[in-house]
Amino acid sequence: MTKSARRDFFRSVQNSLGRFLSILIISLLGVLIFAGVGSAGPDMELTADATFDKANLMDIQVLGTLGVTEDDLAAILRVDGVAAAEPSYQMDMICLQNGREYIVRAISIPKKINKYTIIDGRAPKAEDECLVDVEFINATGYDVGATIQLQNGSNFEIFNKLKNDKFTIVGTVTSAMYINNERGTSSVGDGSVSSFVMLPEEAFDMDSYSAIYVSVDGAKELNSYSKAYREKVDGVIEGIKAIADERSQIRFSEVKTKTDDYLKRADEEYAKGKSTAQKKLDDAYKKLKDANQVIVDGRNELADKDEQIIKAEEMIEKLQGPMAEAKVYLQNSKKQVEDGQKAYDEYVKNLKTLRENIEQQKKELEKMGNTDEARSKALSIALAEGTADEIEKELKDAKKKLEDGKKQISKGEKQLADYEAQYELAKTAVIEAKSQIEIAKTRLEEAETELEYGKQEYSLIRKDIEQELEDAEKQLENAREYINNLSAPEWYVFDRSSIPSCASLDENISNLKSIATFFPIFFFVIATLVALTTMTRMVEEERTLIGTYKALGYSNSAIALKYIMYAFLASAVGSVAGFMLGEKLVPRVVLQAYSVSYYGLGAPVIPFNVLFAVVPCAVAVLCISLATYFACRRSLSASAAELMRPAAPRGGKRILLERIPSIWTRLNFNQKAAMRNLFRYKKRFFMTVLGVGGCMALLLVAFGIGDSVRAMSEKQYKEVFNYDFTLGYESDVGRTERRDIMEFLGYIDTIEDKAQVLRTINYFSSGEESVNGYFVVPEDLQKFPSFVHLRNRATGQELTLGNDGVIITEKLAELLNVDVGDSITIKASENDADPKTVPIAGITENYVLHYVYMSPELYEKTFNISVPYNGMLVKANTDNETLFVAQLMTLKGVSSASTIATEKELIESMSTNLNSVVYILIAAAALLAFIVLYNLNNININERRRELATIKLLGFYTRELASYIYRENVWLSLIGIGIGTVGGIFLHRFIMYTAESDMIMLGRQLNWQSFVISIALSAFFAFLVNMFMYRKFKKIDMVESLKSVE
Amino acid sequence: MKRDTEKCLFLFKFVWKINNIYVIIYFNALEINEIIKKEVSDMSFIELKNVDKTYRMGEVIIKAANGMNFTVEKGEFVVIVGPSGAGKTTVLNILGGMDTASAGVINVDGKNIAEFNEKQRTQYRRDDVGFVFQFYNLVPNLTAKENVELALQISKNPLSADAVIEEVGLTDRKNNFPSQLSGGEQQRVSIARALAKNPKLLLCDEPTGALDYITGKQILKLLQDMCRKKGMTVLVITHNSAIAPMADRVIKIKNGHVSKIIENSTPVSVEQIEW
Repeated sequence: MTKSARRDFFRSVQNSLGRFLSILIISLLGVLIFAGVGSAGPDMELTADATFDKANLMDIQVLGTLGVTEDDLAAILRVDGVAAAEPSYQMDMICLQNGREYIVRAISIPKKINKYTIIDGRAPKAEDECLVDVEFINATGYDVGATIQLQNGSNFEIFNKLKNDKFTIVGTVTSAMYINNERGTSSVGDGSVSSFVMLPEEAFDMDSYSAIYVSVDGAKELNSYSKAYREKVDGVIEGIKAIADERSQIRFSEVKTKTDDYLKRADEEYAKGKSTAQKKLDDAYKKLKDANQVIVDGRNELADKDEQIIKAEEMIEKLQGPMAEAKVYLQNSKKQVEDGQKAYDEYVKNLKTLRENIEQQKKELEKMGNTDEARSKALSIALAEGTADEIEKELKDAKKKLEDGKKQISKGEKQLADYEAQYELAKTAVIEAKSQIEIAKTRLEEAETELEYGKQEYSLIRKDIEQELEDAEKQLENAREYINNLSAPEWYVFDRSSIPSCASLDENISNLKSIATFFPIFFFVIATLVALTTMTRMVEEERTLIGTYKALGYSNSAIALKYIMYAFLASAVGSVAGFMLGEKLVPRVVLQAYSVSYYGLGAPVIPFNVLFAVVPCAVAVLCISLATYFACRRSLSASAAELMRPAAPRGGKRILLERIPSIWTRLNFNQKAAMRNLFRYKKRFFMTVLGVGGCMALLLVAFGIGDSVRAMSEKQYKEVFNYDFTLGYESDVGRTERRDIMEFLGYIDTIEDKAQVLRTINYFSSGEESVNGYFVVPEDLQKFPSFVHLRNRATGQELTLGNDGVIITEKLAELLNVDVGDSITIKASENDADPKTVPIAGITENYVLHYVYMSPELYEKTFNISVPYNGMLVKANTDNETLFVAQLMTLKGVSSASTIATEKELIESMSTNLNSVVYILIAAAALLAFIVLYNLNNININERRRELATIKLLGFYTRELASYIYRENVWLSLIGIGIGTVGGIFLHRFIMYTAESDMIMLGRQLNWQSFVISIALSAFFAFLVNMFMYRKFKKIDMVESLKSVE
Repeated sequence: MKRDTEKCLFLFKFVWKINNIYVIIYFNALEINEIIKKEVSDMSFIELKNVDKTYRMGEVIIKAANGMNFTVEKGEFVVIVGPSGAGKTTVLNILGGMDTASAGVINVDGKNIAEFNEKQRTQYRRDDVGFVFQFYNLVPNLTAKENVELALQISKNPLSADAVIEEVGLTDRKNNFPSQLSGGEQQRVSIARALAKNPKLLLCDEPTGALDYITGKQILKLLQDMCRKKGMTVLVITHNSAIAPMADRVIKIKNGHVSKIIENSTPVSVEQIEW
């Protein structure tokens, strides 16, 4: 480059700073998004790998259907490529807290492999100390220092138990095995493990190890997500599998000896259970008998009482005669005595008078002295005195008689009183006896009803016990059969994908990668195309200048160098800035977002990824520079003279539409002109359509994500699931307790309806694939459809649960790649030795998690036991769900109760989480629209400056001039929106398909509102850019039209 | 014109003098009316008075037009000649309503377009002026006929596109795109486009500048014919003074002002001119 050429170069950068910057910024954005989003996935892998390496996470785990032993460990250590191996005990236990059952996985404290990180507290020192998962603290509310009690989860564990069931929490930990909140599934309880607890190895009393963790030699140095790592680990897995059969055989013979003992014990247990049951029955019977005796006694007593009353009444009657006689007699006697008294009194009176008379006569006699008269007088006196004495004598007798009469009366009175007392007594006795009989009668009636009830109860309990015994017998039989059929155990040799949280992280990373491959490339292509068009235009604009340089004798390469340098400088600076910003910024934001759910991940590892730096930079710089070079070459191939002459304008062409006269003739002049222009500038057509279409598609996806998530929660919780609460029984409840719960629920009037179900988490598989989900057996098939709506999503056809097969949910069918008529295998755990296979009778609409529905009859046929219902679906009309749940939890025998609203909220919060993605997409769409439309409009106006100047000169108002161009833009935008709509529908479907995890199915439909909003926004963005361009039209200089063509 | 004014004033004085007011006023009112009418109709179709145009290019002030004065009568074929940079294009820009004058009066058909605002100038361009360019300036994506129609779209009382195309002799090629036409044919389309609007004034900027000799002559002939047949006022700007004899009026411009105006009472047909 000569000095002048250099000066020209720098001045042209300076003078067209806008163009230079626009290429720079477009390259920056393209590379930023490509490198940033592209390296987010790999950076996440690196972060995960660093976390795994730090914890020395196992590369392989070996599980045996009958456990693994010390000898197995030694054998595995001898396998080629095994660096270290460590055995581990594991047991799923139940921890009770606040009346709730939590299933916790007890793990022996790891030593070298799967190292944990203590968050709080210290490592255990004693056998009864433990470390707990942070999730455990969150779920149960226990804290460091608290003592927890762990119960055996399964009733059939004979060989395996903990030495001690009480542990003191000394610390909380996180483990690389559990980097998110997924804890896996269990065959215990409702099947979902809530957290883990690390116990000292000595606390376990197990006859074999549960797993052996293996570190592969040299695997730590490799990236866990690299092919080299997988190959290395796969090699060792093969090596371990090779010894599996031999080891299993050895283990088998070991176990065989123990199983007889087991069976014997089981038989004993059964017998014991049977006798206990019998005793329980007998007791109940005896109680009934006693109750009956009480009634009989009561009846006898009643009869006695009746007799007593009769006797008393007789006596009363007997008493009445003498009593009346006595009364009459008494009365007579009284009267006689009274009369006697009266007479007596008279006599006494008379006597007194007589005596007085006598005294007077005597006095008179004395006075008279001894006369005849006196003598006669004295005689008469003597006579009178004699009479008086006689009377006195008689009176004395009368008095005595009178006294006797009185005595007798009082005697008679006393007797009467006695009679009366006796009478009263008898009467009271009768009344008392009568009331006693009343009471006794009521009591008797009560006792009779009680007896009736007791009889019913007895027959029910008897039935229950018989059923339970039968079940137990069946189970025993099954166990016997199982043991008899016991074949050599199997080893399961898994890599890290068997760890649930690792698997889900893998899934998230691959989702991210799948989205990351599409968007950035799309964006990058557009950005490069725009930059390229801008450069091509620059070369075309400077045609005359190129001619001049040429005429001055500059070599072609020297001339081209200016433009290539220009393009290179702009795109290189932009690209480098883009990848530097992108590689550091975007992965950090993405990792930050993911670390919320993957809290176990360590500090983000964000290296400069050479691949994502070099590739987009090189592609961007090369594309733009090469395009510039080709544009230059085209110009340079012409002679200087040619270049200095105006370029022949590109000829107009007839378009296809003109060959359809029926349409063409109907268009007015402006429409015809617009149409022809549309198809004339093909590059512009293609890119504008791509830009607007891309914008439209991105917007549709942005709003569609919301639609899909909303549709998922709406449909799942309003249309598919019609119940409000789920209720789980404690694991040891029997039939009687179940019925009690049922009965009790009947009293809660907010409950509208309830249905008893068996609801467990199981593994479902067909062929290789294995997926876990809920296995549901409803008790009442008639009622069930009003709780869970079974229907085909596509056809809307209602499905009914029958005995010819199970109904499975859509996503499960999709994951297992099965259809109606195929069969599905149900396993209690991933390595269940006794899986059951059933045909599929229907596939039902469902969005969240997987469900397999089976009729009770089919269950009994398949599993050979009656359905052990473990919970209930409840429809209730309540305002306060939390209170209601608390109310349900207080019921005896209820271990868990939850409202479906919680699940619904969780799902709905997903759409809130996705809001950031939606905003990013809308921003990207707007950015895309602006970049593309602004640049293309700019180029379009520059390219057609002369044409526009002429038109302006012809007297078009700015408004008319703008509409001349706008008309084309409107058409382009409409076509773009049309294509974008179609593209968006597919893109949305594709993204929803790749974005949804295995556990959920997102809605596939877009709402019409989303279409309207997307179209409106796309149109608005296009409108905004066009409005921005308006001032450009104003500035078009008409004098330009007079100039020669440049 | 000056005489008429004097006469008028004289008459007024006379009337006042003889005191025969009423009769004379009536008589003279008619007279005055007629005089004024005559004066207006006597006013030239185009009149530039002391037109200045200065551009500021950074710190340099360029006087492109410096006291430009000339008139053109209606229906005249006028050639404006001058060397490069003399101010020909400035005249065209100002007269065509593309640019404004810095000072002066520009009367076109009785209106001073120097006082027009942006909107009025656009109105003026669309209704009153037709342009013919050196490089034709056809819209490449429209056929010959469609290019003419482009102008018709906005015109107040347009002519039929087909008729105008026939007038310029392009009926056979009216459905061809500009790229399929020769330079002369393209210029004919350009002229047809200008004529179709039925303008009062046809401004031609070096119409033959990009054409060969014979074609150039044909175009000039076409322009002259249009002028003669339709009575249209045609202004041709050229640096080729050889074509001056065909004009009714030749305006020579030098250094931003009119150096010479030649009124040619006997213009010759373009065929007789050789250069």
